Parts: sequence; structure tokens; C-alpha cells
Amino acid sequence: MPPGEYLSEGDSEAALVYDVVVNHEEQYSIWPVSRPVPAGWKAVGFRGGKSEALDHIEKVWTDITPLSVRRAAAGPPSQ
Amino acid sequence: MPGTCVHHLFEAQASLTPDAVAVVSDGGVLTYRELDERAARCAQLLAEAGIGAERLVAVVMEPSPGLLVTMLAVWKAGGVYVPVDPSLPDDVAEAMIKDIGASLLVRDGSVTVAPSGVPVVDLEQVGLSDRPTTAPPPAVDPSNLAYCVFTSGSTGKPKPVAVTHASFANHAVSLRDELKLVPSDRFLQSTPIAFDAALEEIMPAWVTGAAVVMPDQRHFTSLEFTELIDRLAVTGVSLPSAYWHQWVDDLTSGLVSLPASLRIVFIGGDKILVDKLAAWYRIPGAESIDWVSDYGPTEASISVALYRPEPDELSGPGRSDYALAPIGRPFAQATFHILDDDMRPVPDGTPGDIWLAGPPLARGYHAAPAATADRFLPDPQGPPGSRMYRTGDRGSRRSDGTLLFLGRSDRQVKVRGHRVEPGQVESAMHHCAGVRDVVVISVEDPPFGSRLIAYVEAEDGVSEAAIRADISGRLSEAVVPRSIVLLDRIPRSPLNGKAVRSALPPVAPPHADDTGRADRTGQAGMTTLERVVALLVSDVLGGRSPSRDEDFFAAGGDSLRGLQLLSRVADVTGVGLSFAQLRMAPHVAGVAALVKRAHGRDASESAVVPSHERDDRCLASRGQQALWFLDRVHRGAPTYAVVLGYRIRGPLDLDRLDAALTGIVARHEALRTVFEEGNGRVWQRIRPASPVRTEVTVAADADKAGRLAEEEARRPFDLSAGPLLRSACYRVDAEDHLWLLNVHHAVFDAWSLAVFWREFAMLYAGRPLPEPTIQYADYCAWQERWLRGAEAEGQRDHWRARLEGDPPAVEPGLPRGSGKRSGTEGFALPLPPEAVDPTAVERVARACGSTAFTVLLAAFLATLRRTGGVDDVVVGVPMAGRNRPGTEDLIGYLVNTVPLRMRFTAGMTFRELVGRTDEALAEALTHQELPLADVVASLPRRAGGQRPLFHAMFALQSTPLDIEGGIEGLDIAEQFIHQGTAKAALTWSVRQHSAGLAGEVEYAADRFDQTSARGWQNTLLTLLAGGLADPGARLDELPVPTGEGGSPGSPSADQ
Repeated sequence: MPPGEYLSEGDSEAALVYDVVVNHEEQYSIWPVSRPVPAGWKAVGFRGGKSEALDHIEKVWTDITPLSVRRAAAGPPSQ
Repeated sequence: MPGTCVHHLFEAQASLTPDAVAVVSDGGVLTYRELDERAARCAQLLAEAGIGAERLVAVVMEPSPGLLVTMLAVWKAGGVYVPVDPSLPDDVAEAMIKDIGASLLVRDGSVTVAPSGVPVVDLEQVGLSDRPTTAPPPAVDPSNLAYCVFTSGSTGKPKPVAVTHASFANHAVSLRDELKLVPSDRFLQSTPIAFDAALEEIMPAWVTGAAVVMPDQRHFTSLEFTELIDRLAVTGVSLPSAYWHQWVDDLTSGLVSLPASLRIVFIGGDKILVDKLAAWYRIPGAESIDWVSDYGPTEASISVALYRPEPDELSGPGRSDYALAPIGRPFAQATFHILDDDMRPVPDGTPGDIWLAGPPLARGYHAAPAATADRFLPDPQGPPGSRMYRTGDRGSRRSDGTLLFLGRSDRQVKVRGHRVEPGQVESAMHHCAGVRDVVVISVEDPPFGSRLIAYVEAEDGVSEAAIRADISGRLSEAVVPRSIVLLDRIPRSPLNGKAVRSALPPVAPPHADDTGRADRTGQAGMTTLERVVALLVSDVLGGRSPSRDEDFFAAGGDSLRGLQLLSRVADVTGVGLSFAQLRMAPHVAGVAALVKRAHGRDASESAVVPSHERDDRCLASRGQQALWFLDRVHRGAPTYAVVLGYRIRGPLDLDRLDAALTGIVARHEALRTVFEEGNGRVWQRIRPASPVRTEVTVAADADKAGRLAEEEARRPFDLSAGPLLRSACYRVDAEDHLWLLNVHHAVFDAWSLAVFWREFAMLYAGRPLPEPTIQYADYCAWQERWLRGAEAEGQRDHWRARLEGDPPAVEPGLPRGSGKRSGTEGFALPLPPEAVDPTAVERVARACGSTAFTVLLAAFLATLRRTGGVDDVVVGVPMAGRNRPGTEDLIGYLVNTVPLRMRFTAGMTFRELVGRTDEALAEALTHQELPLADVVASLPRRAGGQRPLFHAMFALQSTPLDIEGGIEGLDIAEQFIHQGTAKAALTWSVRQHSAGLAGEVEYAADRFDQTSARGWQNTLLTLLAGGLADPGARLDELPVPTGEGGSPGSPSADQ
């Protein structure tokens, strides 16, 4: 049966390996290991399939509010 | 200026123009100062409840000025506005509010939503007037959240998108500038309040000093919508594309006209059909309106691209190949990336995934890190550390920078504006009792968008209805699958367990499984008006016949189809009903009753009314005058006889038959009318009622009976002596008769036949009928009045414009015999029973958003073009002429033949032809009253003197008949009997039967012999079959039988 016959898609994507990456605002995302990590982002050291990477993010990224906004809410910057 | 919060922009505007109107509603207006003060008081209340930056405030309110005050108050308090659809079931809304972590719920009026653990402010209960209007501003920054909107209300877990003040303010200011809004603008708020697009109707106006128009009513018919724009002087509207498509139809058909105040039409970028866009620009006045469509997922503040059609995109060589309008060009500083599977940019013109970046981007899905990280990825093309959002749409960029939409890249579909993941619907359905396995797929259902179908494997004894009832409590109504199909086993791949789409049973339209139980007895009990309404309902529902009391919405109707139904009802009956009225009485009987009541009320000059002083001689109607002269030209040939043959089995009682006929003739003056000429005019004289006697002849067998009836049918009528109704009966044996009813057209038409049968069945059964109130002479009096009025003048203008440029009247066939058109002799060839596949016709009709008749007419037009070798064809199409109140129960000659013109364009496809035919028919319907003779008279004198406008006719006999089962104990079947004449060179008559399509083509004997007639018919059927098989095929590429019109024939000799 040709692949197009199946209802679910995204098989090829699911097979990719991703790095969990983070930027200066402590926003997390995923990035395929086959491509260089874009400027302003760094890999946190976790690597895995898409769902593992996202599961990891669900654990470590507890508040999606950007860092600068969280800091402003906490009061004037002390440094 | 994206460095500010949205409420700062509002406050700046309020101090600039405090007395300008900010909100218009049915209840009055609010100035900027009043709105600002009320919002400030309410903000105090919210601040006291602990609202500040990043705190979510769920607002569950009906759309109203009070809702706008609350929205602004949330921002003034520093909080995050979270609109929740007030029509959601309480438990669904409560779960959403709790899940998102709202700090507070604000509600009013009848809303009872009360999630546990979330404090509630009921604005009905608290007073705001004693609160101060000034307060220290909260600590809120443009990088804080302004609103949170759910992507869809489809399941228990919709995704809440969190958007900052910076993105939102950027959008409001950008759209203001893009639409060139001015303080005098009034923008209509009509989008459901829980969609982010509702904010688009509000904020850009408020950063301009313009007004937001907030009507109480939310579902509009085209009539109501147009009236509302007029009444509240609205200058800008935003519409979902499907609604706008309907409005274009109604504007094109003349049902409504463009309000003068309107200057901006903004279309929610769903799927905009290029055909409708072309039709829009043909509407007078549309060219001066700024028409803009938008594109924008919720995840990028409201809209990120706008499209304005360029002239050459709609016609000519630049015309887009896409049936859908482009996405357009980025705006509001949005960046579009078209990327391949490896997230690398693709060259212009190459399809790829659409990713979005820039200031419009949302912060993410509120409190959903993994979901956010899944869709918001690092953007290698953007500034360091920036993100881009995967839309899930496919698209490409043209070399001029315009973006094109190419569909969804994943299974996510949009169903009536709701984004739905079939997987989510599946998981909800898995929870229904007795469901073992389920697969949900979406199919395209133009023009309404996508439709969901659920295939369910269920435990024994679990019915479709039980699942439907169960699922309705779990999903919002919009995303409940339209069709639920029970399967013994869902076909799944043995390799990976995934469902195999191609092995699922063919997708039946939602009505198909019901047609079998379409209830003929339910139909039989209906009045004529109810039948007409039932026909319209069935049209709108795609062919499924409703019973009299069946709920329209339960039968598959939704609000868009409801509005479409109301438009058609208005077209046909002249009565505009509201959506609320349909909601209250959502069935055939209810709609018919409302129309009848409106007719009763509306006894104005538009209605046909009984006149009290009348003598037994009055002017003939225009149609009758024309028939009188034709009869003189044709020297008494029975060309205009309406010949009806019925094979009746069972104990026919001829005395009762005669009594019933006598009763009908006594009731209807038209049936006892004769004609005379005097003072240069044609008069009708009404004879006193007298008994009708059926002539009975004994026939050896059924064949002989048929031949005798044909002979009798050839006997002409004498219009000046009468009678114009004749009845003859051929008796094969005591239980087998052929009844020939022969009525002259001057006093009868197809609709009359429906009236006739209803009354005949009653009278034959010995049951009484109410006295008729209107007679044909009343109609004639009305017509004389009407012809002097403005409407008639408008129709003269209309037809003059339509027939401009003297269309060639190509006569089908070739001259035979003397070659001189005597116009009387003819013959008819019935369509072979299996010649037309009614399901294919229906399918293509649905796919084109049209009707079966339109598709057939399109094939007829295509055949005339092909065989005639011309690109400009006029066909006579009889119109019932029963759209005036009072004419419904009349027997008489009201039908009027309108000259429907089709100008073919190069490369036209069958689908386009169906669309254009649909438009032409809709137009003709609304201009059907002007008698053909008056149409001809209004045209400029043509070279070559008087000649017919058309030589071919297409008769849609859509009047429902219930002959079968009409009389107890008798089996009555139609038997085709032809009088051996022809009205035109050829006429195709089609009827819809319970069994499918029936019909015949009548040919003039001086243009066709049997062989050439069969050839012509063959060409017609081949072209039709080709168009049905591939509606996207160009007309020129459709196959025709070889040697039969494949090459254009010579235009006929007498042109």
C-alpha cells in the first residue's frame, strides 16, 4: 500500500532526531540535529525523537512567559 | 506604534475625541468618554479582585456594548482578556476556564457558567456607577499578554493562544493604516466574540476614533444583513467567506442591493472562490468598495497577510488557475517563510510549508510548553534567538511576492470556521458508550468548506442516533461529524494498524442514507406551498427530501444552509424570513406557515388581490394575447395544447371523475374562459359554469388506446368558442383506462397542474374545498397595474441590457422540406430511461453549489453552442411566475418564458458553465414577471425585422406532483402523449420523479427528422456525461459523438 493511503501523516518527521534548544528568553524549542542550531539558540544537551524532546520540554519549561517579562514582574532589576 | 499597550492607544484616542461615538448598538451610542469612564469603573472592580498583569479574566457574555466595556476594563486593570463563547454548554465552558487557569470569570445576563474554584463577577449583580473613574495605572507593559483565544472549541482540550499587547497593538494600527480608516467610519462587529477576528472589527476602529457597531442580532439573512448596514450606516464589514459567497449570490440575483454607506468589505480568509470574486466585481457599485481578504492563524495576531484582487487576476490572461483566492501580501510586519521539509527556503513558485515570523507572533499556547515548542521553532532566517510558527498550511510565493494558499499540510481541517483535528474528534468519539473503534476523515464540500465523516465500529445494538446523542454532549455542535457511518470493522493496515482510507466505503453525502426512507406519504399531505418549501429544503440539503415536520437542523442543515434556504424562499415566494424565525419553526410546515402569514399581511400592490367589481369580460393577460396571435398564425394547430395522459388501473368511477372535473371548472374561471378580439385588443370572456362530460371510447388494447389518444390530442382548440378543457377516456377494460386530459395553454400551465391534481383528488373523493378567493382575472388586473410600475421598468432595463448586441438566434437542425418555418409540426423523443445518471447530476450539482436542473441546462447550452458553432446562445426558459402573493392556488396561464442568454468564454470549463448558468438562472428568476412580448418590445428594432429571440427551450418542471397514490384504490401513472407539434425548433423538458429524471425533447419537423433528432439527442447526452465525469474539463475538450455536431454546423440558413 502506498504511504499516501494511510490516514496519519508526519511519519518522516517522527523519525527525525531533535535537539532541545533554548534562547535568551528561556524559550524552549526543538531543532533537527541534522541542521546547525540557529543563532541565538543553544542545545541544552537533550537529544531524542520528537515526542521525547517535547516530553522533556514539558518537564523543564514550566512557564512559557519570556524571561524578561518574568523579571519585570518580579520587580526592578537589581543588577 | 507597537511600544504601547492597546488600552493606552484607546485612552489616547478618548482624550483626543471624547465626544466621538465609540459604540453604536440597537440600544443607543456610547461616546469615547462614556466608554472610557465605564471601563475605568469596571477596571477598579477587577483590580480589587486581584487582577493585574498576566492574570487571565474569562469573559462569558453575549455580544453587547457591556462586553466591550468589560474587555477594555480587563486591559485597564492590566489583565488578559479571555473571551469564551456564551453558547457553549456550561460544563464545557467551565472546563476550559479552569484548564486555562483563569483568575476571575466575568459574566452577565442569562449566563450561568460557574467553574469551581474560580471567583465570579456577575455584572448584573454589582453596581459600577459609584466607583471612581480614575485609578493608578497598573504595571503593565507591551510584552505582557493582552488576550488569550482558544484555537477551536472542538474538544475538551482546545489550545489557548496567548498574545501580547505589542503584537495586538501592532495589528490594530497596521490594519487601521492599511484600510485607511477614518473617524467617520462605522465598523460592524458580527464575528462570534470568541474568535480573534472579532477583535479585528473593534480595535482598528478604536485607534482611529471611529465607531464599532454592535447589533443584538447575530445570525443574519442577506436581507437582514443588508438592511442592518443601511439602518446603522455601517461603512465596514468583516465576513466569513462562506457567508460572503451567499451574499454575492443574493446581490447578483437582485434579492438585495449594495448599501450606499458601505466602503470596506473585509473577508475572513477562509476559502474565497475566485468565481464569486469575479461575480462580485460585476455587481454595480462593487468597484468603489475596498475589498480585502485576510490570512492569519490565531497564533499570529489575527491577520498577517492581506489580499486585494488585481483587475487582470479575475479575467483575461492573468487569471489565476486557482479556484481559491491568494493569501496575498504580508502586512503588520509579518514575515512569511516558505520552507521545504528540511526547513530550508524554497524558490519562488515552489510549494512548501508556510511558516510565520515577526512581531505578530503569539507568545505560545498558554501553559502548554510542549505544544508551544512543537509549533514555534527557532527561525534561522530571523534575528538571533527569534522564533517562527509552523502554520500547517501549504503555500507558494509568486515572483511578484503574492502568497498562494495550497491547502493544509496535516490532517487539521477547518469546519465552518472551527479548526479541527480529526484526531481530537476521534478521541472524543472513543469515549462514547459502545464505540469500539473510530476513524474521522474530512471531505471537501464546496461551497461550505470541509465536512467530517466518522466511521465507527460499535458494539451490537448501538445505533447511529445513540452515538450522535452521546457525542453532542462532548463536542461543540460545529464539529460533530455530519455523517456517522457504522461499519462491522474499520479497515486497518496489518503492518502498522493505521486506517486505510481507500478501503473505507465511498463517502456518501449526508442525505444519501436517508433518501431511501424519504417519506412519500409525508409529501402527499403537503399543500402546494409546503411542497415548494420542501423542494427548496431538499435543494439546500443536497437532494434529501424532508418530511413536513422534520427539523431542518437535525436533518443536516446548519446556519449557513439555513441562510441559503431563507434566500431561496425569498427568491421564490417574495417573503424574507429571519434566521430567528427559522430557528423557531425549523421545518417545512413552519416555514410555509410563515410565508403564508406574510402573504396574508402583505396585500400591497405587489400582491394579486381579488377585485370586487368585475364583469364577465376583461382584458386578456399579456401571455394570453401572445397565444391568441400565435394561434391565428398557426391556424388552429394544437401547438399550445397541454396534453396529459394517465394510465389508470383500478375501478375508475367516470361519474365521480366528471363531477370532480365539473367542480374544478366551476371553481376556476380560467377553465371556462374564451377569447375574442375587439377594439384592437384581445379580451377574455368568462362563461358560466357548466357540466364537463368525459367522452368514453372503448379500445381493444392499451396500444390502441394510446393511438386513439394521440389522434384526439391532435384536434385543435377553438379559442373563441371553447371549451378549453377537454376530457377523453379510452377504456381497455373495467379496470384499465387511459385518461386524456387536454387543456389549452392559454388557461393552464405546469403549476396549474399541481393545483389541479390536488383539487381533483379531493373532489373525486367527495371532500369539500374552500372557495377560491383569487381568480385569473385578478391576476390580469394586477399585471396591467404592474406593467405600468417602476419594477416593470426595471425589468425592461434588465432584459435590454442582457440582450444587448443582438444575440444571434441560431436555429438548431437544418431546413427540411420547403425550408420555410411553419412552426407547427413536430415530434418528441423521450429520454431513454437510463440516459442520465441522476446521482452523477446531483453530485456535480452539489460540488458546484448548484442544482440538478442547472447542471442539465448547462449541458443543453453547451450542446447548442457545439452544434450551432456560436459562442452566444439564447434559450427560452419558462418561469412559473408564482412568486407573487395570492397566485399560489390559481389555475391559469402565468408561466412566462424568459430569454436566458449565455455568452461563452474561451477555455470555459463545464464547472464554470454551471456556475454561470446558476447566476443567469438566479437573475432570470428575479426578473421573470416581464412578459416575453414586452421583453421583445423593449429591445431596439433589429436588422432583419421581427425574428424570434430563441429557437430552443428548456423547461424545468419542478412543480411537485402527487399523482401516484393521489386517489385511493387507483393506480395512476403518467403516459406520455404528444400532439405532433413543436413550439420551437427544439424543446427539452425535464421532470424530477421519485425514480430520478424523466423528460423528452420535442423537435420541429421542418428542422429535424428522426435520425438527425436522435443524433442531436446523442450529442446532448454525450456532452452531459462528459461534463459529469470531469466537471473541470474545458467545454471544447468534452467528447461528442463523431459525425454528429463534432464540427460546428453551419449557422442556420434563415439568419
